[in-house]
Amino acid sequence: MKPAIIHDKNRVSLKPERKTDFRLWIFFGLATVTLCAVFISNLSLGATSIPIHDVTGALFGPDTDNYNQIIVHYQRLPRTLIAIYVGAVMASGGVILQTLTRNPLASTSTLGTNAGASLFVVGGAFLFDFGVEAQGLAALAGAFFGFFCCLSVARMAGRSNDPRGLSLILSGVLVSMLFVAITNAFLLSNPMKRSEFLGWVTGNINHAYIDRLSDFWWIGLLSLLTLFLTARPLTLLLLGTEKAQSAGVNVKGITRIALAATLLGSGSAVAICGPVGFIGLIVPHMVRPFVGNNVLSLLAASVLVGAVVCLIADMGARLFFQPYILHTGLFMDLIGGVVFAFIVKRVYLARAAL
Amino acid sequence: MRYLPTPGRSLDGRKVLRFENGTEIRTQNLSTALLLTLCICLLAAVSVHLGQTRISIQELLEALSGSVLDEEQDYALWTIRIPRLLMAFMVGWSIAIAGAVMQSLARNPLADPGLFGLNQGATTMILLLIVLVPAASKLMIMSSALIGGLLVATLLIWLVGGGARTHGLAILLMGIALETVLSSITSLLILYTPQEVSYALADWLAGSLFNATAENVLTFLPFFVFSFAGILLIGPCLSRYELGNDAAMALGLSIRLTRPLILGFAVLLSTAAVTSVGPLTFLGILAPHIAAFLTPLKGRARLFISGLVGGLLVISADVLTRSLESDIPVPIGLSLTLIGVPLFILALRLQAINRQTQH
Amino acid sequence: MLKVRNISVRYDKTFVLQELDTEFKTGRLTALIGPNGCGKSTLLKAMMDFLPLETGEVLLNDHNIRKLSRKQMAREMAYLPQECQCPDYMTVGELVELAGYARYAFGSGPSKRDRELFADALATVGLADQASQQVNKLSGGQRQRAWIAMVLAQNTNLVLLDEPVNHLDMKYQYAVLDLVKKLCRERGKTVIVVLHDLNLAAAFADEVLMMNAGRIIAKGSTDTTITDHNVRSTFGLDADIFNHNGRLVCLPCEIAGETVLS
Repeated sequence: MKPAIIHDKNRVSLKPERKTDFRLWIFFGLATVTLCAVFISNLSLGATSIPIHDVTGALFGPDTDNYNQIIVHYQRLPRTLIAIYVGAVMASGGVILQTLTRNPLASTSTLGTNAGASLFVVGGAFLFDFGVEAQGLAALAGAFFGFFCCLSVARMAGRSNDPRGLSLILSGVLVSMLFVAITNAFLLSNPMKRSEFLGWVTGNINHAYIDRLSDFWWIGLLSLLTLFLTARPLTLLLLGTEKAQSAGVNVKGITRIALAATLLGSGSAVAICGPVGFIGLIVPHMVRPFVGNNVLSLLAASVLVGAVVCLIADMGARLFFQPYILHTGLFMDLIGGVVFAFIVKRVYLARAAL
Repeated sequence: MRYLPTPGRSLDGRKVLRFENGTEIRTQNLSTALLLTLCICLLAAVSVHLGQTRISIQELLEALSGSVLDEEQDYALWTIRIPRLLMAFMVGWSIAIAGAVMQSLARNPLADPGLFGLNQGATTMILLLIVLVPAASKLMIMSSALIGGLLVATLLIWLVGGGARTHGLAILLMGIALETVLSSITSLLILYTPQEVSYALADWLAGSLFNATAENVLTFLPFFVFSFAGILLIGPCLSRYELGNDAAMALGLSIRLTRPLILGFAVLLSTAAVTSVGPLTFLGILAPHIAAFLTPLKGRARLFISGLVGGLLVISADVLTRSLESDIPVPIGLSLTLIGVPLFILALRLQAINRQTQH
Repeated sequence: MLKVRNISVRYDKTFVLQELDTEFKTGRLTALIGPNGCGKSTLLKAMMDFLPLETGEVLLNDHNIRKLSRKQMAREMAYLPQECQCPDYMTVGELVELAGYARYAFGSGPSKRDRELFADALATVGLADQASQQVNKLSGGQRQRAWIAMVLAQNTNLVLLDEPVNHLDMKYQYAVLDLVKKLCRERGKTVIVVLHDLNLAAAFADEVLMMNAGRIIAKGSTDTTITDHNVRSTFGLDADIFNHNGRLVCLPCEIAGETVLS
């Protein structure tokens, strides 16, 4: 092969060819259509099926006398919006963390962020009787706290020069385990409040939390905007710090901004409906084969697909176990664990075989 | 006089005591072990002393030498405090050793028995048992925990392919995956069982030393005794494991044979501990690290001294828990972290400073 | 005497070794040579019984190694893996002491003779003064020699080394191989070593075994086997082979076919 071709190949990974460009557009088109379809069906399907014209009616000027429209407006729509918010924010967080740590297993749930946020919320509510706004602030602070605990444990114990940043994942899981244990201890101390928070702690997408969404939605939006703005330098970061630096990227600054945006976003998501784990882990892996490694398209695709996955999981949690409604967070955890095992088998065991 | 060890020097110049059959004990390790034992005795005295009913040191010594205390003191000492103390030590010992073993097996300083899903396997099994058979006996709970832990271990070995070629890290990551699935099942149980059952389950999960009775101590005792056999048998294999699978096999270690053995040993110890006081995260990592900071360790001595440090940590965490008076009972895991983590950081800082002055 | 009978090994669907037949004579230093991924390391691992064999058998002194326990094998054969990892805490002395494992009786430690062997191994590689240092803090050349000391301390007749001079500078490459050759000459050990550099093989090996794509291309004494024809069929590379003051030198000239890199 001639050197010129090798050079061209290098450029392809950063700037898609026209052919892949075309595939990208198809993918995004399909994802958007799916999102709309899932959105509508999430509103119409449930314990009682609601006809489409009632759904559209509820969306554009609800009729307060129509029972169906009331259900859609006050129960299903809030739930759906929360699912979309959580899915989009968590998935984008996963993309950014996987890019920054260059580790396929990184996500907000494996790096201690979710557990830290929920510990702070529960701790605040149980010790100091925090209201909703204060709980939101506590969640944001907790997300940072959890992540930095994970970082410091990894830095102190994992002194080995681990190429794939595995000690980070291990310390993240450990920190999460500890935080979850402490959260449970808080829950036990007050049986009255326990029943209020028990569902929240396992990650529950529920219409009751719509007040929280209306308080915190702008945080997630802001974080997503910031991430989209930093997507281009982040793509260069994938090639390694030195390479990115030589291409003119302020590595430290970009890393800090992206990290802060991610942590704030996921903290706000946890504040709304508790730690819904593993979307951040799964979704980037689902979209990567279609859109490649460019962070901008990865982010956009993850936001769309994250929302879709979360909506589908929510629908599954409501429909499969009727008359019970399973907690969406638990449902995601179950699926997430299996996917995690699958990734380990594909990524780590396949390489170990040779 | 044949069986007395003779002093000598090891290959890298450390002072050792050498026995007739060639086994060696490093003098530094021996003195560290003695020092740790002394610390444990002191803390034990403090722990027994602490509480509503006052028992002075003098009375304690008299009680231990056979004389009878008044009824209240007698009850406090023999029914509550001594079992609790013994339990704390044995649990710390077991988890620390399981952690040290797992770190060698996975070749990673962050491997904790909890990370492999072993604890979670035991927990899930116990919760299922409590839900299905509310009147289960201690023995049934213990054995179901063991079955749960062993099931997870078998599943792990099966999932990673069982062969000698798989990397220790793969086992660790697969363990995390299993842990996630199992913990979501646990949450399911807690969420969807009736309120009282759910509360009982959560209470059990939080775990504490409060329900350590003489009976519990007796159930734990066989595992404690068994751990010594394990140390003797497994100790020498571990440092060879850390060289990598191929090098270990070339040195004469059969991975296919010893890996299930080592995993089973860790399962027994950690599930027994989980059944008795609930999961204690981080202890499995902290204890071996602090031990290695105190004195250079390998082989059997590493397990033994890690166990002592683990016991010491849990006893001191228990003392802390009991001396803090608050509305919310401080979970033992939290006070363990409060004590262990600063020690751990201190040890690492000192090590770093030490390294700098050497250069 | 180590014999390899008709062995095939495969990873997934691709055969890495295909019906290989050879034998390694006692007291000789044999170099395994071939391009990346041709199965050199796999051959070593197969001879150590680390891999399941598709066909064939490996005979050690006419015993199938499948029938031997790991300890029995460790008393006969020592092996140095390509990538050596060592925990941070371990000192050179501790590393060397690990080698004795296979010789201890149950529950006992090193005998006096074992300890002499350890000290001798350290002295042989010239690390007697560094025994108390941590392995990971040594320089690359010293670290490699520490590992070789471990292999020596195992005190076996057969020694298998997988690319022992990788990542070493020119001086240490020669020093390490010189040491290996001396062991072969003075102690009658049989050494099989994977090498990448034909010139090093020519300088130190008694015999070379050239491989490509899981098959043996040529085997024989160094002088007669390293020829431009064999080099071309092994590496797909035209090379000038000439004799310079009694030493074989191999200089690559040109890539033989366009198929090599595509």
